[in-house]
Amino acid sequence: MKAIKEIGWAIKTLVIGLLVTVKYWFKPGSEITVQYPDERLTPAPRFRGILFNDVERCTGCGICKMTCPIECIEIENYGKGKARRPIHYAINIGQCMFCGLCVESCPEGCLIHTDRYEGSVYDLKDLYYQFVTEEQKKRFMELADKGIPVKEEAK
Amino acid sequence: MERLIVKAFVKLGLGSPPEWAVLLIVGLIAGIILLLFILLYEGLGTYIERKVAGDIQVRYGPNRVGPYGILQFVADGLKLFFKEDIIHSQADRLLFRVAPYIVFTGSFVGLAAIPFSAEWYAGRLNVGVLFILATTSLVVAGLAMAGWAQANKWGLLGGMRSVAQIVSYEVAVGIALLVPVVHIGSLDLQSAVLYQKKGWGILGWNIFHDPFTLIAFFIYFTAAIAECNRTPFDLPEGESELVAGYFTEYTGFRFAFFFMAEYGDMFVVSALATCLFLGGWHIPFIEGLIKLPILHNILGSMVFIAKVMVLILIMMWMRWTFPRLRIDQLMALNWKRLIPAGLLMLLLASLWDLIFDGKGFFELIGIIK
Amino acid sequence: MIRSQEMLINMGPQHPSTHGVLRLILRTDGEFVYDVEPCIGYLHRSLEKIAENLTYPQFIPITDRLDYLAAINCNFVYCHTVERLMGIEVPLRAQYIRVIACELNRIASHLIMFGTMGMDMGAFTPFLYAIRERERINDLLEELTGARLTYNYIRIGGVAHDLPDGWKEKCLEFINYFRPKIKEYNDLLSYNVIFMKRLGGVGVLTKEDAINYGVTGPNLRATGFKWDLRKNMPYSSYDKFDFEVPVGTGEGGKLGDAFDRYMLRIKEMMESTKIIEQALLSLPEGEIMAKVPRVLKVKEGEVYFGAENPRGETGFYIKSNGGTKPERVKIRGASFSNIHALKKVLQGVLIQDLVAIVGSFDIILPESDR
Repeated sequence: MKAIKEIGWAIKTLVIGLLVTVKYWFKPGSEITVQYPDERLTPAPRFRGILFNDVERCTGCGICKMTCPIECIEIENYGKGKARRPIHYAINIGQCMFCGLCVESCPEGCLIHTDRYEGSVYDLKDLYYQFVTEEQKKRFMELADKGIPVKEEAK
Repeated sequence: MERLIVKAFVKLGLGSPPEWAVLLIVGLIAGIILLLFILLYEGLGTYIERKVAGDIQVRYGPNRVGPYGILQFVADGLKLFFKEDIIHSQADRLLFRVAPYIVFTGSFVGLAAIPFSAEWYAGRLNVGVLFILATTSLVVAGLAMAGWAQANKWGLLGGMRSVAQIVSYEVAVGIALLVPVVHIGSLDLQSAVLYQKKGWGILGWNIFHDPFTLIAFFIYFTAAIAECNRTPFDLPEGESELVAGYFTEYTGFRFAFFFMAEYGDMFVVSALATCLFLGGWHIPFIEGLIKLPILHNILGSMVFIAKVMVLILIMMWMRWTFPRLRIDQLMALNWKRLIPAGLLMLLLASLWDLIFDGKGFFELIGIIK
Repeated sequence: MIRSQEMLINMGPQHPSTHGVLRLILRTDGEFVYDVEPCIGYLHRSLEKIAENLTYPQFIPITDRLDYLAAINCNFVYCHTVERLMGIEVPLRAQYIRVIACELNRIASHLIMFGTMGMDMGAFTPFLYAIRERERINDLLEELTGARLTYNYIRIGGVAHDLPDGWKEKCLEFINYFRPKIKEYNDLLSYNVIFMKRLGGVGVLTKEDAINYGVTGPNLRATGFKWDLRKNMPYSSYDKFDFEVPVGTGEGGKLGDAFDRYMLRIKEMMESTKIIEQALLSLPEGEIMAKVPRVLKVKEGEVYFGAENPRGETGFYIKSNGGTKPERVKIRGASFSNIHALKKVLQGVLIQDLVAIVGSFDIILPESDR
């Protein structure tokens, strides 16, 4: 008798399980899957994507470099006082862990997270993001030599 | 068929061929047709399996290669074909190479005895059921070989498990199959189908013959799933325990052979169930209306394959629903539940035949005659 | 029992069911496992030493890497330890947001446990169902914190961001969506006869053993011992919420078996939804950050604080010498203690039981190896 009861219980639970899956079997498509290269989700506004620095507004204060726990930011400044400007600003995105501490601490608000999340490259060197271009570097050096502060120039 | 071959020989100016040559050619042609059929089925089978899995698991499944991803299996096959064939240095090279072929042969040869329709079959054997049981047991030898030859401890465990499992479940399969055989009175599959060809509907099928045969069908189906190493009885290849079980070290096309063997096995056991329990190629409801033999053959084989596919789909459905049994539970289920129940059903079904003179339940109450 | 030649099997670090890089050296006889030796340390990143070289806030993103399935909980434990050391009082709203985020993350973590448990048992489908729900939690947390795995959300003195607009409604909607799913999980897996028979009565951990090995969290509660730090030593306004602490019932066979450990997580998910609902509905207005100086200088002293994480008590011991960097940080990973109880439990079991028991302990290696 006990055995028959057990077999009944077994069949009952198995059938309940089968009914759960068959419910989804005949529901075509998927509720949650995104066909990635064809359709893309837009990340949330707060999403911490690949970093971007608007070097035109950057004063080269170096707080981001100080806050970074893994030291993946490099800054080289030129000029003194208020006219100081970064002539080399690089982030090693390969090292970056997207914690967002640098962005939170940036007093100028020029270092931001974009919503880009695809960072694959063919060469490891390409992950070393340089934000100051050669012409910018030249221009920044001139501006710093003239002693024009960052904020005024931006106007 | 034979006459056509003799004619062709005469036309080619070779004279009348000896009997053995004709038989050989007929066998070859039948073999090639069956091989092509089973390869196509296996390709589509993997596609269907993945699609079913996708649907059940609220994903898409393959949908990139070809329309609805239907050519996925071609891509997979090509990929496996071009993969490096690795035989590592510790492996027993001969057994390692032979094992996949034995497994595949074991799953494929059984098709020879299966009647696809009234006239389409490779061979009509008067011991068809026995033949299929014997050939599917050949798989065990291959699996054990593969498990042993690859000199991998997980593989060895998988091989041992598969031997223990398949050998024990074959007993249950055999006993469950005896129940319809008792009604039919023959081991020939074609006459099994003809026996069930009574009445116009589905009530003549063996599964509706009497309650004991119905239970025997479920016993057979459970044991058959275990014989094909499918979930919930996929212990030999249980990927979360044994990495990949008996084919852990196999790569490329040798791996594909194991895969095809699994699908081939599924087809054979389902086909056997269809022949013995579900009326084989018997077309329900419109059987009597079809007069043209060729049309009857085509429809019959389609019905047959549809019945087999339904069983295979149920296997897939179960695979993507249930967890796996433990090895001791697996053995207990076989020896303590299925085999005693099977023996009881055999006894009761034999008594039924004795008392009611071989008439089925619906024949007795007069719905069919 | 007849014993034949023993076979030494190396299970892991690369094995489908060892949950990361746990290595188990098994001494087996056929299917029977006589002895197990867990080997840990494959994921050692010397986080404790790294902490000594970083300032207090800089270490927060590193704590994400402790228990990556419950990153917010780890953030929280660390931040709260520093707060206790500094004597900072966190605003009530921040406390509530912390509770909501932690409990959401607890559900996400238990979902992974549920899914991998099914996968270890050979059922693949529950995993994808679990992932489906976890995806929604990830979306919610992405909106809240800005990341999907390493959240880095909790700050010393509060939280990084306030709740976004409309997030509260979305979260309540998720709770209502999620509750019926638990029944579906029970139908599909928990009360499946095969699953119950596989887990019931195997891997029994007694209350005494669990306490002796320092097992905490759901694994301890599954032995019938009601010990939940959220109730017993309330922190971060957990005492304001009404929830139950489920304990093992032995419905699978024996008290403290693998099924109890599994079932406890399912019940805890339900309790977590209760906490989230209460916290969301009674969310006070106010600040989300306490007044904290920009450069944190922690006064001399030492403190230990442990909190109830999804896997047990995760604790931080921080010793400060008055500077901006801690002098010593000791992390108590819950999984570290839980792994060591495995050796006791995994004796004379079958290989398949072993997989099930390791799965039911729900260990995570980065936390134990640190």
